[in-house]
Amino acid sequence: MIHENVVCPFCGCLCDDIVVTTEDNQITDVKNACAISKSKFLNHHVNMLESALVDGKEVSMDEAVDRATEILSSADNPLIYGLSSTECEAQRHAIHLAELLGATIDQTASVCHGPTILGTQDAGCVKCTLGEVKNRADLIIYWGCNPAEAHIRHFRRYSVFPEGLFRKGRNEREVVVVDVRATASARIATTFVKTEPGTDFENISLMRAYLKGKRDSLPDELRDLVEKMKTCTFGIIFFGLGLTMSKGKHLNVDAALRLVRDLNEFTKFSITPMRGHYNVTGAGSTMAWVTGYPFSVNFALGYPLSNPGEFSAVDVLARKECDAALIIASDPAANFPAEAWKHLADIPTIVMDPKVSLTTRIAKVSIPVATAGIEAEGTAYRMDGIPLRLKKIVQTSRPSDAAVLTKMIEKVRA
Amino acid sequence: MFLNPLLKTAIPVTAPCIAPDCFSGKSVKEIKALTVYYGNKEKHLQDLFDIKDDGQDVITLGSVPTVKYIGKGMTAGSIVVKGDAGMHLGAEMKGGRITVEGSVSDWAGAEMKGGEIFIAGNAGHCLGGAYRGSKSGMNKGLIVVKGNAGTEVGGLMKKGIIVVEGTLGDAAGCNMKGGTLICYGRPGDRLGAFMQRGSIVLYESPYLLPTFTYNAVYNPTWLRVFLRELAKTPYKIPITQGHIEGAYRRYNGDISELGKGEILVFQG
Repeated sequence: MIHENVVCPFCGCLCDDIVVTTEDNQITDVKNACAISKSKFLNHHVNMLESALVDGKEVSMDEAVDRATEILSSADNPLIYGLSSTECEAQRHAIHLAELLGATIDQTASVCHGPTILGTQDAGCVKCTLGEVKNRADLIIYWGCNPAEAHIRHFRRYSVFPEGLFRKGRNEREVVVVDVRATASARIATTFVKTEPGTDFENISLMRAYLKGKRDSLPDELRDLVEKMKTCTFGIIFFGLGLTMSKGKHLNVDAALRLVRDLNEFTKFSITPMRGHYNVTGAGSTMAWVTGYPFSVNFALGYPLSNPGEFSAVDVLARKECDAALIIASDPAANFPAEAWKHLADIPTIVMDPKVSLTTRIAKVSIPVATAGIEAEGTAYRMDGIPLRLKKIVQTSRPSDAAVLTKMIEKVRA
Repeated sequence: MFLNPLLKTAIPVTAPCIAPDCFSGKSVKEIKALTVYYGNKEKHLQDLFDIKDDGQDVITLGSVPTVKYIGKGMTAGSIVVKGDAGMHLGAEMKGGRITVEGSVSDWAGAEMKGGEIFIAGNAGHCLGGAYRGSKSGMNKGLIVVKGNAGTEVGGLMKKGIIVVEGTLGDAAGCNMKGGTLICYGRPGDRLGAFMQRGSIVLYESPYLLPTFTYNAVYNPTWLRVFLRELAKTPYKIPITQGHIEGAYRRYNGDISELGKGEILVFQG
């Protein structure tokens, strides 16, 4: 069977032109996908969490959900974390569960593009869709990101190479890469601007002062870049963790957002974060429309409070403030700082994941779920905030994240 | 009133009721029955504290590093913490005095509108700062820290005074719109980022952003008056005659924003 226009559940590009062939409920071929996407589809059955586990012993799904609910209900300060690699309906149920439990809920943005959200709250954000970029942009700047290796089809589908309404191809677009080293992305750039690590804030501040006529001189490379930005017809900055996770964090993003705001005095300019997990934008959107806040939300007092730094997962774990954790579609044991994941190993941790991960190895309860976008359908948001529908292309007996969370909600309410 | 904590875990306690305004006019029995949150569980104050009436108007607490919102929004009276205090100490307070004999966590004095906070130890991040999305941070009042302070001290500060005798973390005075920040130790990087107005006074050489411009060496008249008044406070701030009469290098910035903020570096 051939499934057309399948949405790829890997990175924030959410490519929606994938063609997947299945035979006997197995994926046998994938077309139009990048290497990472192809591997995700073809190997989705590898390394699966075979059955529900409690204390390392196989149990039925109902027993695992019962035990998980008992742990979460009796906790004084439970933490729910993850969400960005599942679909929006599951995220909505997770928020509902957090509200019923009086839990802290956080999504993976708090360790990647959280500073982008904080910067946006300070400075606002001039946004546009990737479709507008494809059709109109004549200056494309990649700042502190490496799409050639992380968002592989970004160049081809949205920015550099596609045939748009007013820009017919690569020759009608200028591409600038700003980074601390000549990455694979720098090879396709018209201009590569090399910066010293940890100087983005200073560079952007200087560019803004020059743009406002408050400073006469600038290093040549930065002056040329500002002039290009001022004189283009439609410019776009794509930025990644080079800005958000280097020294200064949200101040770097704040400065970049203000630069784009200032540039709109001269021409049309936009900015878009290169979001990593395929539905991390959706996690922010869902949390914002349900609770009013995009991440790091606490329901302990019965109403939502948000304060990154106070309710962000890494900080809550490092300060040992939570006494139980529910991890949904994430692997914090593999990428959190040691003092954070060690606490995760010390408290009863529940993991909902399709695959075996480092976090399932330290978990008290592991619940196998369907892989969203392959074995379960749902909604996901692209990096520019466009919602797309994920498809179910393989049948499975595993329940979806949303189904497991609904059961937990019913049990907590009972 | 003396509150001795019975807390054994790191679970945070939310207790904005520990404030003179809330205790005022209540019997010990009523105070013991006040509502606090231990994590997500609603409790009475007496469940978490051994409460004794010592006949004093001052609220005295033992070391409470996990207790949040002590003195939140207080308008008068006095709180003494005989040890460390948790997050949001004196947040949005309008008057009165809080003395901490140890260190405090983040957001102490956040968005305060009056009163005084004295911290004998170190302070955390966002001291006197603004909550995310707020238009302004500290707006009147005085904070004195004998030790070091974390990052983003005085963020979006509008009015008021913060004195840090130790070192400052990065981005102190970021988005500052007014008020005065004084630091006797080494200041962190990106001091006064996005600063619009206000004054930062330093007694050690800083690394300044390239968006601050040198103006002059002089002795600011306002600072002489200001330091003399500050020396009258009971906090033993190390103000010398040299500081009052000496010369300061003045820089204005952040020129990528309004640029009417000033950084004064003591020259001697």
